Amino acid sequence: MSEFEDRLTRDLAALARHRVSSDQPSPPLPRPVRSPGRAPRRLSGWWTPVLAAALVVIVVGAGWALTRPTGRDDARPAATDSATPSPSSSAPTPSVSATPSVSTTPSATPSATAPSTPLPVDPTVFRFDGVGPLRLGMSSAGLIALGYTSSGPNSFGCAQYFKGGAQQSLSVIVDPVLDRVRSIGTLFATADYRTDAGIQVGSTEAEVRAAYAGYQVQDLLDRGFGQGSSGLLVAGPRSYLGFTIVDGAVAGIEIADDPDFATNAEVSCTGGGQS
Amino acid sequence: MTAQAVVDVDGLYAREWHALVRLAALLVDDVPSAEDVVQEAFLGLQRNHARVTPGSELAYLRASVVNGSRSVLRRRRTARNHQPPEPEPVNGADVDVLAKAQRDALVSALGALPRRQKEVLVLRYWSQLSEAEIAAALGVSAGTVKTSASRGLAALQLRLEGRS
Repeated sequence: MSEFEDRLTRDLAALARHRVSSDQPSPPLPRPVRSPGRAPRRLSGWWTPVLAAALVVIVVGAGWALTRPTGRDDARPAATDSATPSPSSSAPTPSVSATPSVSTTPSATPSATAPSTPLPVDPTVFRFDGVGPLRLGMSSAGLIALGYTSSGPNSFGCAQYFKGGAQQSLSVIVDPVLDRVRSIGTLFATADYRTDAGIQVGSTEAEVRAAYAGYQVQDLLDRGFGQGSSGLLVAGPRSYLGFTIVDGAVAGIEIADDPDFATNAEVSCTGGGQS
Repeated sequence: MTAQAVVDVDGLYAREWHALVRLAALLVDDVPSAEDVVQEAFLGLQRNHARVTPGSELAYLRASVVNGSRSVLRRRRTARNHQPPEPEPVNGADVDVLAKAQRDALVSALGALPRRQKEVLVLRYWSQLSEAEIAAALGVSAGTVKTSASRGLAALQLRLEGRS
């Protein structure tokens, strides 16, 4: 753990203690209120197995009806968002599927209406293959040659590089084992960067869709707890362009060589990490 | 069985209430809301206790607290435009000015992070959860935890060191 991580651990503990004192008494444990006359939730009695058997018959019958051959080739269910229920819901666990809730598989072949790359070396322009002189796949040596420095190995297996201390710096994620850039993204919601299709922080979701109309554009749902779309993923020829969407507008931009990332650019580094 | 379950929840409540309220207080910006979130989490646990895997009650509560904190922030979103006010009470003449400045800076820097990065950092560095536990609590993959932590940590460091 780095010195900053140690400091963060201490500061968060101090902040938490400051906000909620250990002396603060806890209120009484709340109890669920059940309406008078409401039917008991737990099934019991001799008729329970009978009801269960009837349900099995119904489910099996319905399953047979749904899965019998129909002559169509779309019988495979589409990926759906498995939103986690709220704490008051009846689901047993709050965990959710980490599979992006997209309805289509990204196509790596854009159409002829793909945006052009007017300024390939502009350091503020995101392209599918990089940002300015930065390129997906380049080595850490290449990054260092461009003036980027590593923030050191972190606890999660990824190496991160950025340039200087400016808050406009880009975050560059490097796989430490493969020694190649996997992702490049904005650290803050700054309008200093844009894509070669003209999308920048503040652009609307509709503008993103219009700008990348020739591409496969996926909704990336916030799979945490079913709060709706939180990003758009545009499939490029060999990489992916992700937009963080907050309140209907772009709040962050990143590119990655792997489709398995969400609005915060999920890239699984192969280096070892603590867990 | 039901009586035992109630006893277990009581014990969990006694042991974990402060920690969970502190977790919520780091995710939302005021203690009363944090307490409400935790109360709701325990209510949810009691309603669904029979269907929660034995031994995973605390994980369920943490996830519920994160979920509830998100709901609180979402309700406030339009009013505060993502800039949480610092509700620090005035403690009088003996307040440690330096410590307060550090807290203010941390609160501000945390508030400027994207939600997921903030949640990951709080769960990692305050709740001391493992990568797998964070992934389970947030309902995301381990890869998301890694990159959210990496980016969040870097952004936080830049902001804090820029202010100090």
